[in-house]
Amino acid sequence: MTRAAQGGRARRAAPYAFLIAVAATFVFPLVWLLLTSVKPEREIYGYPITILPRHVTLANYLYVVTRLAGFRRFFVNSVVVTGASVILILALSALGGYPLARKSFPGKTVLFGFIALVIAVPWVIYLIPTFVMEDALGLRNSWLGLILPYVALNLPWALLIMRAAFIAIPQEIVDAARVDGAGEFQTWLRVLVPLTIPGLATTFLIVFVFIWKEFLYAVTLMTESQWQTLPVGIIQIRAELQSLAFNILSPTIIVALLPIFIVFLLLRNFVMGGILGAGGFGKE
Amino acid sequence: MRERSWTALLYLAPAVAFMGVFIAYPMLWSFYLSFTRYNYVYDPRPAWAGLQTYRDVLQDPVFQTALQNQFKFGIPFFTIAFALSLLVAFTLTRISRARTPLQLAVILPMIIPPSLGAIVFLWLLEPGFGLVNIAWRTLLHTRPPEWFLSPALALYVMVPIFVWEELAFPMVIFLAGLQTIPASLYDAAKVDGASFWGELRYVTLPSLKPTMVVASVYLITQSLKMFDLPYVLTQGGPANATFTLYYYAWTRAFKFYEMGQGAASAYITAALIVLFSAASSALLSERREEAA
Repeated sequence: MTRAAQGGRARRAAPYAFLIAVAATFVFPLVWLLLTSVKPEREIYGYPITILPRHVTLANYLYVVTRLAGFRRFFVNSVVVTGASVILILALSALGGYPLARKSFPGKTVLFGFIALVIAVPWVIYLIPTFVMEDALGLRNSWLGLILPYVALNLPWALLIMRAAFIAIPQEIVDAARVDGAGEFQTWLRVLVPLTIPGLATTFLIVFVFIWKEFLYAVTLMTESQWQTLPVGIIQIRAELQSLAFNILSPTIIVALLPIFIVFLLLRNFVMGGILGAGGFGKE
Repeated sequence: MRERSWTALLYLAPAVAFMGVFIAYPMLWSFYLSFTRYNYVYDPRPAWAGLQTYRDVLQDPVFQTALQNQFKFGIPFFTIAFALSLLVAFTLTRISRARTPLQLAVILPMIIPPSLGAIVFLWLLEPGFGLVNIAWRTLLHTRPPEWFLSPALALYVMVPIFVWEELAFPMVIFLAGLQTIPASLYDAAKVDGASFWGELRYVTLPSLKPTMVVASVYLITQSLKMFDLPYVLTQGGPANATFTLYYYAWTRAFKFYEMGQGAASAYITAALIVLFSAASSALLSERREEAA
């Protein structure tokens, strides 16, 4: 083999070597978490350390799911809060994205203003009055107390993504529906909304992830343990268990991540578009 | 054709109502609060204090420490995250096989709740049984540092963790930016006999300038809004070494219930976000004119 050919092969291999190293480093903490979660306690806290579990056990999971009552409650809270918020956001952004895309009024500037506010402004600015408001209305420590602000905070990018989805629909389709005598709302519901399903999928993915992992509002507004969502509740579990509790903590984290992994895998085709859309770069 | 109609407002009304009550109104109310003295536990209502609230915050030694920490943390974080996301995106465009799994691996931390990601790193760095410390003892035969207990180290340990959490977004927009560079530019460079480095210097990097503005604004904003990591890993300690501005604002408001001071320090943080974002975009667009 000539030296030039060797050099060419090295040049082609270099990007792979670099990317595999980065990807492995990025995935490793989660792999280690998964390995820890299926090891028996004496392997987790034993010398010498085992990298791969010598005995694979689901005992940690069984304990977490059956005995850790608080954890089940956190999981239910996360499902209810995320589920209700996401449904509301999908409905409101499908409604609001339509006039933003297809009607003329000065809403665009306002919308971009809101997006800039939500992305750049530290949320603690909104959180302080929200805390006072919710305290006065008795909304702290309730599902509604998280659902309402979550809907508001995630609407701006949802509206942006849905606006792009409505812009992409050709006007002829709307005109044809109108000729058939459909009213405006009927046209929106039966003709336009089904055509925005890719936009709805992108919105679903983005707001599901954002709400499932939200910490600041949850830790501030849900001070009673029975209302806490998983990202806050698991921190609570750790505080109660003190230091060496990773045999309990690792399965709770894996279970907390499962719904997000499932959504991510099911909607993986929308991931790139979703990240770009959420950043305020939805296509015109 | 866009049509004018009043029914448009009906479709938008619910969304606007939500954003009005939980974004616009709180923002204005917070701005008012930032000029008041208002302890939520003791004071029945906010009392006007004018600029005194801002003076109190600026003179608080903990705030000053937090401001310094923000720079000590932000500069290495920004440099590493910016360079690494650009490099990963660029190398992803140079390979043909296994691009999707490699890309997803880098995006993956974005979907992990930061508070739970923090626990995973606590486990890796656990003094007795954490893998990093075991590896350190085995390979280096010395005692590993006490990562989060050391005032000199704790803040810097958070840098790679935050890079891990935040790399996805800049990487994805760099990738999108790289894919929109017209092939004709590269063809022209090839005709002019440009080398690999010449292409990078005169085609790729200048074409990425608008994307670089977006990535730097994002990274600056995220580092000034860092909250979850100090909350979970150190509670701002040891000796206030990991207090960030955002964490400071939160503790003023929700640990000491000084709502006025909390709002004032949050507005100072917001002002810094705007200032640094504007500065970074001005800097990048100035360089573009030089190159042209």
